[in-house]
Formats: sequence, C-alpha cells, structure tokens
Amino acid sequence: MSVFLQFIFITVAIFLIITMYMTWTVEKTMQASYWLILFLVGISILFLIANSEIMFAFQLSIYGGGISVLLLFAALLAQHDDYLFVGDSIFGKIQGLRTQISVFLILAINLILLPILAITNTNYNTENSVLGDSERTVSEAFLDTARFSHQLWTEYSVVIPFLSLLLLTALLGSIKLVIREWELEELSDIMKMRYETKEDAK
Amino acid sequence: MSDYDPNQLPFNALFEWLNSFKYINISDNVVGVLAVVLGTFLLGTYILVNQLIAPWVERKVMARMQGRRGPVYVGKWGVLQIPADLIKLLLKEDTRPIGADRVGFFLAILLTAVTSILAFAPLPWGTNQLVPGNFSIGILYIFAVFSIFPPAMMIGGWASNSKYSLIGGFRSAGQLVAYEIPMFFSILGVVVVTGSFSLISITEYQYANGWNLIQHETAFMGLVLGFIFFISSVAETERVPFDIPEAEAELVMGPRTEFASWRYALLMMTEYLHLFINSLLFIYLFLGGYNPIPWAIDESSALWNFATHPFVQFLTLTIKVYLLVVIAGWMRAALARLRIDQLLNLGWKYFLPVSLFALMILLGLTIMNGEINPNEALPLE
Repeated sequence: MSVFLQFIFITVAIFLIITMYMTWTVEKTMQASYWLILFLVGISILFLIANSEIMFAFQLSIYGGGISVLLLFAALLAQHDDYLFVGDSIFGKIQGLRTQISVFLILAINLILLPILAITNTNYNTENSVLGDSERTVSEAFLDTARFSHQLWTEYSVVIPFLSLLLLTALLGSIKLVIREWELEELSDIMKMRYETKEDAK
Repeated sequence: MSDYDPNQLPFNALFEWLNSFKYINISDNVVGVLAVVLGTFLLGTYILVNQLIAPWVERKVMARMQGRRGPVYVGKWGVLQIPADLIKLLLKEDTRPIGADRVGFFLAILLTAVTSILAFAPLPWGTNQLVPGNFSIGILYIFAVFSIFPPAMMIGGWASNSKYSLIGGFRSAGQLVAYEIPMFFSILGVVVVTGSFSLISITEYQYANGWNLIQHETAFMGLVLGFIFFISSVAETERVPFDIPEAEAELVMGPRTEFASWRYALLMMTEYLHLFINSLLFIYLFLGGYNPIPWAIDESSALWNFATHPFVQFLTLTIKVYLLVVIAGWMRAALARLRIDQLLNLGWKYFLPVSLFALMILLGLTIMNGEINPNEALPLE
C-alpha cells in the first residue's frame, strides 16, 4: 500500500468511526438513518481502496442506495417515537455519558488497530498477500466481474439461496416484531398520554 | 485502437504530452499527478461552461416553440442570461427554515452535488485518451454513484421541515426507484450484446458493428431498449413530463422548496448535470459514443481516419449531447405532466416487463450466435 493510499485509508477509517459513533448516539431515528447511510457509503470507499471495483459498485448501489431508501421510508412512515419505553430501551442506555465515552474509546482503539493491520498485511493485491492458495482464489475473485460471477455460481451456489432465505426470515420476523401490540402500562409517560388522548377522541 | 485496457493511465494523452516537455529528471509519478490535475481542471471547466450554455439552449428552444424570443437582453442573443442568474443566486441571502435539521439540510446538497460530479469519472472523451477514471465496470460505477441520489432527496425533504419538501422527497425517491430497474435492464441488454461493462469497449464495439440503436443483428431490440432507456432517463432527471416531485402547482419546488441562494444554485446545477450524464450514457450505450458514423466501419474504410480523429470524437460527443438537450427542451415545451399513478404504472407495468422480455430475446440471440456459451466454465488462473 502506497503512502497516498494509506493516507486515504486512515481518512476513511476516521470518517467511518465518526459516522458509526453518530449513528449510535444521535437522538432522532432519521438522524441515525442518515449517519448510517454515510457509514455504508464509507465502507464502499474501503472496497475501492482494496482494488475491488465490483464490490464497491455492489456496496454502493445495494446498501448506499437501495437499502437506505427502504430504511428512510420505514423511518418516515412508521410511527416512531424516540423514547417509546421507560429506561430499558437500548436508546435510553446509550444516552448515558459513561456509555458514550466507552463506545468512543472502543472505536478509537479500532482506529489505531486498523491502520496497523492495513500496513502489515491486509493487501487484496495478490503478490504480497499472506493468504494461502485457496483463500487467495477467493480474494482474487473480487477483482474482476467474470471471476466474481463464476465463484458466485459455482462455489457459493448453495450459500446464496440459503442467505436469501435467512434474509427473508429476518424480514418476516421484523414485520412480526413491528406489529406487536403494546400494553399501555409498558409505555413511557409521554406515549401513555398520547395514546390515552387518542382513545378519548374515539 | 484497442479495447478496454486495465493498465491504462487516467488522462493518458495529457500524460504523454506533459512527458514530452520533461527536460529535467523528475519522477513519472509527479507528471502523472500533474496530468490528473490538469485533466480534471480542463474537463471540469468544459462541463461547467456547458452547464451554463445548456439551460440557455433549452430556454431558447422552449421560447421558440411558445412563440416567444426567450432571453435577449444580457449579452448577444441573451447568452449571458444564465451566468447573470447564477451571480444573482449567489448574492442572495442564504436562509434556513426554523426547525430544519442542520446536518441533513447540508448533507442533501453535499450528496447530490458530489455524486453528480463523481458520475463523470468513467466517461471516455475519445479513444483511450481522456479517461478520468479507468474502471472496468464503467456503467455499474455510474449506476452505483447515482443510486445515492434518492436517499439524498429524501433526507433533504425531511430536513427542510416543510410539508412540500417532505412530500416532494417521497415522490422523488419513489420515482427514481421505479425507473432505475427498467433502466438497468436496458443497460444489461447492451452489456449482453457487447460483452463488457466498460464504456470504452462498448464504444469500440459500435465502431465495428454500427450504433446499437439501429443494429439489425439484434432483431432491433436495441431500438426497444433504447426507447425505454431514454424515457427512463428523462424520468430519472425529473424533467417534464415526469416532474411530479416538484410539480409547481402542487408542491412549489418539491424537495428543493426551502433551499435558497448557493444551495439552490447547486441543486439546479445538479439537475443539468443529471441531464448531461443521462444524455451521455444514452449516447455511449445506443448512439455510438464518440463514433460519428452510424454504420459499421473498419480500419480499411475511407472514413476510418476521420472517425478516429480525437478532435472529431470530442466534437461528436458535444454535438450529440446538445441534440439531446434540444430534445429535452422540446419535450418540456410540448408535453403535459403525468399523474403519479400514471408514472408508476408506466414504470412498473409496461417498461419493466418489456425491458425484461427484450433482454431475454437478446440473451437468446447471443447464445444462438455462439457468442456466449453457458456450458463453458471461465478459466480461473
């Protein structure tokens, strides 16, 4: 990896850590969504640095474009409230100062470790790679379109349908979770007030 | 003339030209960086100057169609009207609505503007000479970069804290997603026929076989896919008759309503950049790219030297782009806006199945001609 690439890599790594941190800690769901989109776009730049153009295109168009639109539509159309439950939600826990500092520290340690890894051995290019022969074929496959599709339809032909089934199950599961009905006692005061007035109006 | 070469340097011609001036011993890397800086500057200037001319051309065309004269006061024939508008916009007060989300408001502008400019990277401006970014997956790259646009519009609509912007953002994202898929299928048709994702290879193929739009070997499926691509690209640029996201009578300016001053200027610039990019993609995929001759030519042909001259190639691209800009202006003056349900019906119910069908036919034809053998495994080195 050249010095220039290392510089870009470290810049992208810092960007990723900031966006990751913001995604976890901002208050509104929409804000978290756009920080997450920036994070996903940042990941695609990492693929570009690793000389894997095809993965860059996939990551950007599927995660940066497609999934983000779904995410934004879901965030805007669902009736989301930032403090749905009292205290025990993951958002409630993250808001604490101590948790925020520890999250930031974990990310900062990542920031220090990633460049070291990058400089020492994560080279997608083949000559200097420390990977074994079989692993090398897999990593080489990401370098050009023909090899990538070949791998996809030969070695991974079983994995792809399995993964899609897993994703479908996750989708159905999330729908089931969303349409669960809450008991009024479970909710926070603000939400209780909101639902009570709605009931009265009826 | 050669096909896509993975070792091709960006701005190859400039690099060689600069190297001819190398009297002292400096590293090739320095010359390479200089070539990239100079090339980006030249190409950027060319694109931005055309950004100022294209709206003028469009306004003139529209005015003529409506029995008016169009801009006439600023400069000769009103040529300087658009720069004057730009200066006016830049001098205006930059405002942000109360309750707007600061980061989202800025992010929407940043994402739309940056992605529009980045999309120009893999476009070749002549035979293997002026390619800013040498990608083997040129079309996929442009498509990937463009896919950031719908979320950016939605973020902008939400962050403006205005109902017009929000509804406009929703419509914009829905429309862009609905037309991206038929557009991608029509691109895949070209990829199947030419056997490459690289825009350089696709143009070279059209030198040898004639423009994709009028090729009879593909049972005129190029014409069908070209039509679908063209209409989808108009829908992607959100122009009349597909300007539903900003429908002036209903939504003021759609997701752009609350943006003022330089932000508005940037958004208008991205609108015309999108028009340019989509026109250029249509030209590269169906109208022969920088090839001025519609039928097949080879090196023995008398027209070969003319068709491969760098200046002719550059001029060809510019003329073709302006032809499509004129057509866009013509459509804007002549057609009425579609309703949102008509638009979505057209995209999902007609274009998607037809493009899929045309793609199947093309695949069948290519396999029958023996250009692709599905039983043959690719050699893995």
